[in-house]
Amino acid sequence: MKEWVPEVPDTLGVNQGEIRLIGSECPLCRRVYFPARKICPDCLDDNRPMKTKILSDSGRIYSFSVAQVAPPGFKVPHVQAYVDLEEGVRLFTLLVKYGDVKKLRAGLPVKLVIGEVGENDEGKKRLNYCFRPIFEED
Amino acid sequence: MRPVYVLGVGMTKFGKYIEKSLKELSFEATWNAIHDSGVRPSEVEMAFFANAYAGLITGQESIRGQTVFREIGLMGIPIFNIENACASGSSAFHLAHLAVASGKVEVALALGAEKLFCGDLNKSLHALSTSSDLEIEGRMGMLFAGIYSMRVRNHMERYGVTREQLAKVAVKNHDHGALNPYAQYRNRVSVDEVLESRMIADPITLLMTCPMGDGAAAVIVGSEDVLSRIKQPAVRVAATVLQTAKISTIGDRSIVERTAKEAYDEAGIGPKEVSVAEVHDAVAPVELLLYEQLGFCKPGESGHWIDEGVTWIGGSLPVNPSGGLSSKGHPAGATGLAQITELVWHLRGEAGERQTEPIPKVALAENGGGNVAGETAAVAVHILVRE
Repeated sequence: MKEWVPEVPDTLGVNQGEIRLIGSECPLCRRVYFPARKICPDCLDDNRPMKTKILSDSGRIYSFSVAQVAPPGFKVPHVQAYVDLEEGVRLFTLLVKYGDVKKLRAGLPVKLVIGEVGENDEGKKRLNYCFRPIFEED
Repeated sequence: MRPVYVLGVGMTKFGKYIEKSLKELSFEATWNAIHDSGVRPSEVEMAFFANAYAGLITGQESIRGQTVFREIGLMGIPIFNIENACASGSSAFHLAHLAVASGKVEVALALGAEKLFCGDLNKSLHALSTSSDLEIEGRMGMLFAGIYSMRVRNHMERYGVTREQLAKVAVKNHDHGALNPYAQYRNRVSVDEVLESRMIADPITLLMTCPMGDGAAAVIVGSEDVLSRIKQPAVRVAATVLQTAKISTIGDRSIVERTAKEAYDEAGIGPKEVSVAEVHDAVAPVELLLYEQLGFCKPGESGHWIDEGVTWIGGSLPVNPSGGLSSKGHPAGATGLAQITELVWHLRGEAGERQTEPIPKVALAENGGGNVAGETAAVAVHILVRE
């Protein structure tokens, strides 16, 4: 695979050949953070480095929004969501392949999708992450 | 720390001022506050200038305060430049309070001003979008209206709040704004008009959002000694708390709840004693969540509150009698100080047609700014008491 960089710094890593979300886990309190933090903001101990943690590639929608306006470079409708992962992380993401927006609801299971948003100056692929909802009929 | 009093307040009407500069708006608000206070201008010993976006709008990134105070005429005193996105004004107020409370100065001034209309809408929108972590949430595609929409949607699902109830907050704030000569919007709207206006981020419609705006507001605070020499009634700053987002995990308390609790503890006053409030309704429906996070009502009760008229002028706890951000307008750096100005007018019985009756004793302001890690970056809660 061509070399790549994460569009959002320190968010993606490789686990058994798959690109996955990476966060960090505090060795003291076991809280998990995404994007990865250098220091646990609760324990504040720089002698105990945070551990890299591969995060689940599925979760559930906590809340979502279908916006008819979008930041520059993004398409309308702009469908953003907070997704809860089993590690206790609530992350901000965009939803893709959602079909009919009327079917979206909180609590729906979602699956990680890695997408390409272009190339950087060195010709490396810029990868971002999104989630797609899983409907019962899928 | 010694007691600190609000001596004087002043502001400009909020609106679209293509022809007026940040300096002119600042001049008007500051001199209004000086005249209102009755202190001599030479008594102001320290000044804090709140502004969020001038660096991107006019290019004046550095020494913004010194450039506006040059126009105002107050020079030769310490001037600090304060930026905390839409909570910049509150942050300046907090620091002016500290300067007096610590005993360092007898009189301090907090001035907030913003000019967002510059003839180039994209430039203004870009400036507003910088109030997030550009490297992280910016590249993730975060949109402020969408963040608010997610919070409101979650609340609707949890407690059965209806679209009509969301719209009523916008109706109320427009009703209040219609009574306020300083408001950007003076028109009233109906529930149907709000619900039928353009959808921005479901369930947020255009008439629920705050307008872009220009304006300035200034507040002068001082010690008990100075207060005793002037004619204004005693409005004491019972609490002023500024808090910052924490990197959150599921189940954490919201930043507003954390900040409000600190403020109530500092003031030794509970939410039930508050009789008028100005809160940060960047989109009107968020006001319902704030009633609950500020402890005015129990979780899930806010929908009934708006139905029953509790927070209308004439109700038992009027919220945003100025019209709030959604009707009075939201020139970011000025907003927090305009909230204080409005509350001081109510506490003194000087709020004209929109005066809350009986004249309140305890007032609360809540002001938020920016977004980091999905949470409001900076939140301030102030409690003012008439003695």
